[in-house]
Amino acid sequence: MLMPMSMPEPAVSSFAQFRSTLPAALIKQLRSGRELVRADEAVHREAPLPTSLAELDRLLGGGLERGALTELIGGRSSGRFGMVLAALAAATTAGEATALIDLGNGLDPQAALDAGCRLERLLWARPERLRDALAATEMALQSGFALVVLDLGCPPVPGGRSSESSWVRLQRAAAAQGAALFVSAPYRVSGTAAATVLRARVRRVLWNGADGEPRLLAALAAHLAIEKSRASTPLSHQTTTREAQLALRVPGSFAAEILAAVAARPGFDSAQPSGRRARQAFPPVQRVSSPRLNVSNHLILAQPFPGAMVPNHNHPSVSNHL
Amino acid sequence: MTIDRLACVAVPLFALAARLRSEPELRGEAVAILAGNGSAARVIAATKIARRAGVRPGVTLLQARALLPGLVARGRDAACERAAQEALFETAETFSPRVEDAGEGVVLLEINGCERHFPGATAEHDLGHALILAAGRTDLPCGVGIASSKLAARVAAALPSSPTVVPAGEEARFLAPLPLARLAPEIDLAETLARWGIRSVGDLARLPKDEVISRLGVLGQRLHQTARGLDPQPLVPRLPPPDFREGLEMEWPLVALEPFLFASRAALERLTQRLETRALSCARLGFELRLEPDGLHARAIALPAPTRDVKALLTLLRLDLEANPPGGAVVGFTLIAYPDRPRESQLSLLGPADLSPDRLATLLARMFALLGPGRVGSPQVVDGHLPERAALVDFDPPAPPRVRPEPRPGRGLLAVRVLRPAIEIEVITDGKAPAGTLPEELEPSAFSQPAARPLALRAIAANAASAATHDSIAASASSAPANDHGKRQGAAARPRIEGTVRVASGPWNLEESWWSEQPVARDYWDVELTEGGVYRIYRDRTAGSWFADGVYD
Repeated sequence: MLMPMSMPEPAVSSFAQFRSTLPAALIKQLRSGRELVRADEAVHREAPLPTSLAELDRLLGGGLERGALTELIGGRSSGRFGMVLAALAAATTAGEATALIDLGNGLDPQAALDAGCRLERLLWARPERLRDALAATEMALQSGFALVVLDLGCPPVPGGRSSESSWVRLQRAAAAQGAALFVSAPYRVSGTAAATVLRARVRRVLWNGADGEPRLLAALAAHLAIEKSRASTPLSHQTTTREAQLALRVPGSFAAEILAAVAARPGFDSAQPSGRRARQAFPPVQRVSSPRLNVSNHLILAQPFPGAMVPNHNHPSVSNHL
Repeated sequence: MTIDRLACVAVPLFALAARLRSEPELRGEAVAILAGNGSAARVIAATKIARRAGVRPGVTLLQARALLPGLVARGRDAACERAAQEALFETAETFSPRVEDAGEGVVLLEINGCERHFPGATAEHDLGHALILAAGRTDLPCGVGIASSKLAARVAAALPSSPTVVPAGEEARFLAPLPLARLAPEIDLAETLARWGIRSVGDLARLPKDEVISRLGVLGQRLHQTARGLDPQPLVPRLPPPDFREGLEMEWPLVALEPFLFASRAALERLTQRLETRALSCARLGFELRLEPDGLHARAIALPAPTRDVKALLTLLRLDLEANPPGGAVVGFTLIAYPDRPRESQLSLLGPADLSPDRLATLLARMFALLGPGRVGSPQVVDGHLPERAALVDFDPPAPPRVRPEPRPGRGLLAVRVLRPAIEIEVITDGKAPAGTLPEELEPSAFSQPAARPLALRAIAANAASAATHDSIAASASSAPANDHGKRQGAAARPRIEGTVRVASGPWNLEESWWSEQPVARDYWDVELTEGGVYRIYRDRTAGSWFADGVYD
């Protein structure tokens, strides 16, 4: 910026004094570097961490609240793990370091990669007991990770629910560091420590093919509901709905049932052709396979599956063969 | 020509100082260090309290005990002295990159240009004070002498009013009153000089150089040069060591873990302090335990990231010793830190915050200690087709982007939660088996049908009593051909799987490692149970058994 010669020379230690000498119109537009950085930090510290799933983010008022514990509960095949991977993918893609404390030891690195996770930004810890999992979670929270996910796996959880004080301790560690703590459990575990509790229920499992025909798993439709939200959180005044429908699909599947399941989405244009509608509903998946297939010495015998026109990417034999 | 200025840092009573550094609880006690064995052991150094009581170097232990019954006697400990010498050397290196290790608690460092860090007329004097303070922080009280020759600096360091600065060019005058013995001439040469009537360093320095050389040869030339305050040999800087060692000889053999860890903690603290002076961290921790009567137990612990966290290192040491006991009483130990540069990070103005390297290293070390090896790291895709395959690599996240990227919509994919190890299940298939019957009641041919569609399934022994359930599940799980590289979960609680199949999709055949001794041949099915849950199950074609290895979740 060019300044007239008569203006005082700015001194680093007396920025406020320098600003007071400027015209009023200019003062409003002038910010010190520290003010700019602090404002940027404040925005990002307060802004929730998006999960990249529109329905889930809408329910949570933008995403996972930083400095708070968000608990997601649901039984088997409720879409819990898919949501966990989506949250991890969104955070790692944004350049944040994340930690997954995987009590059930259920992570498939290929699935995480397919979901969009940057694996090099993901710390994967595999404790065997809940006590170790809680200790590892606290350590990760104290180390500055932006998102720490504690997944308790399928029931029964080894170690039960633990004491409520340990969950309060985790919540305080998250609050002290401004980290988002996302707990995925088959049943309520965190008690009063959770700022938000979401329950996921499987609504329908969607298969390709009718009865009597060969079937192919296409998607899973889940119902999400908020069971608890702390009044002080932004959730209470930003969220207008407390329930949502979520469809998690098998990679490569564009079944008619999925379209029907997501047709109620806001902004969904039902007049478009089905293929285009499907692509609109679900962004295209980038195929991952060729490098592994090329270097592999393995022999795959993919048995032809009559009537199965859509590949099932969850099965390595099929995905790699195609 | 610039005259090199040298500083000499000398620790008086070095054997005693090194011992007190390793055993700080002995400070304030009457302690004597002895050299030699049995009745031939003689005191070589003693603390001020002991000296006041009359304990002097050269007396035997019995004589010393007679003078002072409460005297604490310790033998010379080579490990302590080596570690103290290293610590002194590293302290000197924080002042100058050119340091010579003169041994026995003495280091020499070239200080040309260092005085600029201490503005004022007494720069060298202030530098000497700083050296004394820095050595004191490593529990080594020392004296400092500054001169232009090694001998002058060493003599100055031994004077009581430390630091002593000998101005450049004044070395010969400073050394002149010293007895000739300080030059340490060889016996023959000393006798010759004594016959000439030369008693002091100054007397020798005043002799003509050429005459001395012609009569005494090369040795005489070197002595004459030293007496004139000139160094016959230049400073020889030492290369940085490949590892850092701290150790201790025990007073008596240790058989319990806790006392050993107590002694190790102090050694680890000293070790990390030394690493910190060089801005290094411990990438691998080795230890050598000397066992009674004559044995050695040596191991090394690989760390997931370089760290200086004493608590984590101590926990790892404990876990390793619990898993691999030495098998004998420990009479001495040496801890070895293999150094590496700690991870560095650049703060970002507008991008996401990076993890603090120190905190990350501490976290990884503590998690490693808490969960054990092979349980912490960054997941990595493994070449192959078995769905349970996974690998861990060291967690070393790249620097975050400079600008925070805009969030992108997610893919919304259904994930499979892998069951490691796979759970053995009983499956009723279509065809020959009537609904509701158990597999053992089926004809064996039912399993041989490759396309037998599952109708109902349940985990083996899932309905038995809990203790028996865990045992039997663990036993059956251990027979599953899982490819998990980590140890199995053993008797941990496993998910219960039971129900009638509502929809079954499959089979997808998978064959791998057919060329090896353990080929894998499986028929995969996706099944949805009427009781809830969508599972990925497979039939092992080799054994004919069924397993559940994943839950769609």
